Formats: sequence, C-alpha cells, structure tokens
Amino acid sequence: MLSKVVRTIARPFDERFNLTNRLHESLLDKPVPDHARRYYFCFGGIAFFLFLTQAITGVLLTMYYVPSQDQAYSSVFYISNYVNYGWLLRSIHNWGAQLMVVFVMLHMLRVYITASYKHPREFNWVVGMLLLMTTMAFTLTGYLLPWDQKAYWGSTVTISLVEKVPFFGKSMANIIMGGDKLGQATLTRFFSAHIMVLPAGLVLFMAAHFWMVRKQGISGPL
Amino acid sequence: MGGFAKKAIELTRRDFLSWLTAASLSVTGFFALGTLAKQITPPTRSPEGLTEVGWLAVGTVDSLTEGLPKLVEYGEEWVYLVKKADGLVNAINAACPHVRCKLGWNANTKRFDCPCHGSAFTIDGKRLYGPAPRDMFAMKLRLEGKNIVVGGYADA
Repeated sequence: MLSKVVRTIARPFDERFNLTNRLHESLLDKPVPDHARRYYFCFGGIAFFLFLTQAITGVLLTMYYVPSQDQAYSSVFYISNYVNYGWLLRSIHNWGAQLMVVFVMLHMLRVYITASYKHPREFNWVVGMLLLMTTMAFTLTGYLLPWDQKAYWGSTVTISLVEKVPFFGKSMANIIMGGDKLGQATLTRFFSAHIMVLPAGLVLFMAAHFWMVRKQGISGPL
Repeated sequence: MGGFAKKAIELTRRDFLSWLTAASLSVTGFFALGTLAKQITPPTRSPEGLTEVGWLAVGTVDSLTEGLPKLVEYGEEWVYLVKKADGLVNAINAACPHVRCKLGWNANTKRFDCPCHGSAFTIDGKRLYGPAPRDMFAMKLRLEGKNIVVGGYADA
C-alpha cells in the first residue's frame, strides 16, 4: 500500500540511477540473524534514534538561543516560557541527552557481554570508544549553555579536573576556556563545539561505525 | 458476502502490520511536524507581556464597594480595584512581589494574604511582613466616565 506510493514516486529516479537495487544490496537486504533478535541488540539503534531527535531539537533551540554572557540565561528562560512548545523542546533535548548517554553505555555493555568486540571487530570497538567520548563531550559542552549557577559551577569543577593533568593541564584548560578564567570566551567555545565540531565528529564516526558493521556483518552467537 | 470475505483474506499479516506501522507513524509524524511548525513560529507572547495589553477597561466605579477589593482580569494578570474612603479608586497588581503568587483578600483581618509564603499587605498594598521585599505593585489607572481603565505598572 504505502510501498506502492513510494514506488510510484521513486520510479523516474530509479530508472535513471538504479537506486532501489543499490539500496537493497547495501542496506535493506540484510536479514537479522536469529540470535540477534533480542531487545538488547537494539540499544545501538536506540542511541542513534536519540541522536536524531537531539539533532532536530538542537537545530530548533539554536533558533532562539543566544550564546552571550548577558543573554544566554534570558534566552533559555524565553524558550521555556514564551516560545510555543518551547518547554517541550527543551525537555526533549534534555531528556534525550540523558537517555542517549544511558543507551550508549548499555550498547557498550551489550557488545562487551556478547564479546562482539573481538577479532575482526576491534577497530569498530575503537570507533565506538570515540563515539562515547564525543557523546560525553556533548553533555559537557551542552551543560554550560543555559549559563545558570549550576552550569557555571559544574563547568568550573570539570575544568579544574583538566588543570590537574600533569605538565599539560594548565595549557589544556587554557585552550578549553579560551583564556585563564571561565567567561564569555568559554561560552562561545562550548557553543561552537556543541553545535559545529562535535556533531560533525559524531556523524563521521557513526558513518565509520555503521559501514564497518555492514562490511563485517553482525557478530555470531555466543 | 463472498467478495468481502475473499478480499479480507487477501490482506496478509505482513500487509496488515506494515499498514498499521505506516498509519501510526503518519499520525505521530503529523503531530510532530505540527509541533515543529508551531515552534519555529515567532511567539506572540513576549516577556514584556504587560505593555502589549496596554490600556484596558476592567470595571466600573459603581461596581465597587468601599473597603472590599474587587479582583479583575488584566490581560494574563490579576488586579485588585480598591475604593477608598474619599471615593478615589486604587488599582494594585494581585501578584505577590515575592514570587508572584496570587494574593487573596482576607475579609476577617482586612488585609491581603499570600497563600504561598505568608506575606501580608494592607488594603493600600503596603507591605506588613513576610518574605515579600516590597509593597504590592501599583497599576496605572484612569477614569473614562464611569469606566476604570488600567494600563500597566505605575512604578518599575
């Protein structure tokens, strides 16, 4: 029924670019093996879905958010209290972030427990670790953006941890903060990282992650 | 009857389930897109909501009794109209200056009480005690014949 509608729209493109066959070969024609038909094999997919919601709600939030020391908090207040369904937008972005961390962790545990990280999938584990780090960096940078007391002192604590790294600590903290104290430069840097650098990195690593899964197939049963 | 039954059998379980999935996704997607469209529409309410309400007729002088504040709506806020002994009328915002709970008139003690944190004010809006840092907010007011017209905060 629905597929008929899709097929009618897709036909002219299909004739010219042979899309359907390629789509089937590379993506759709991959039956899930019996041993993988368990809910705990869905954690990675759920994490990906949550990333998509984060991307959509994040784009909408940037339409109202102002990354300035003077206006960050009031713009967040404006989103929560005056933008249509702004409270919903912020809540979904906040809860989505929490859940994404949870499901990334659960996915990692599943891969560890089913021993899927072993040869020949070691590199995918490494990329997975990069994805985990990127996700954590997302939560760190996003936490500062509302620019309230919690955000300010939370980030102060995190950055003081960085300062304790031997030899390079001070200069690392300096680069992260964009100066020697937490202020406007830090807010701008965290905002830039949160909406430009990290999404680009995450998409890149995800592409590598998924490509390797497709190339190597799902790991066998225990 | 035969034709209907035959047709019903032709719908396989797979067809039915994919139809069900597509339908529920469409409904969800429809509302999600609606919300999204709402969200990118610039909001009509603004943080300076009061100035947008402007001057608003809220009641008549005749409807007031001396010593009995009358609660009236002003835009999204509430205002108490108070008729004084000399016949003059006062308009005070009903929101407590502490955290903006709606103050109630206590007829027994003849004062405004805050239901949230127990601040109290006189009939003129003067602060008696409580966590509230200041007197109640006075509102701008003018008379147009018998009509009382309120227009935003008098001070601040």
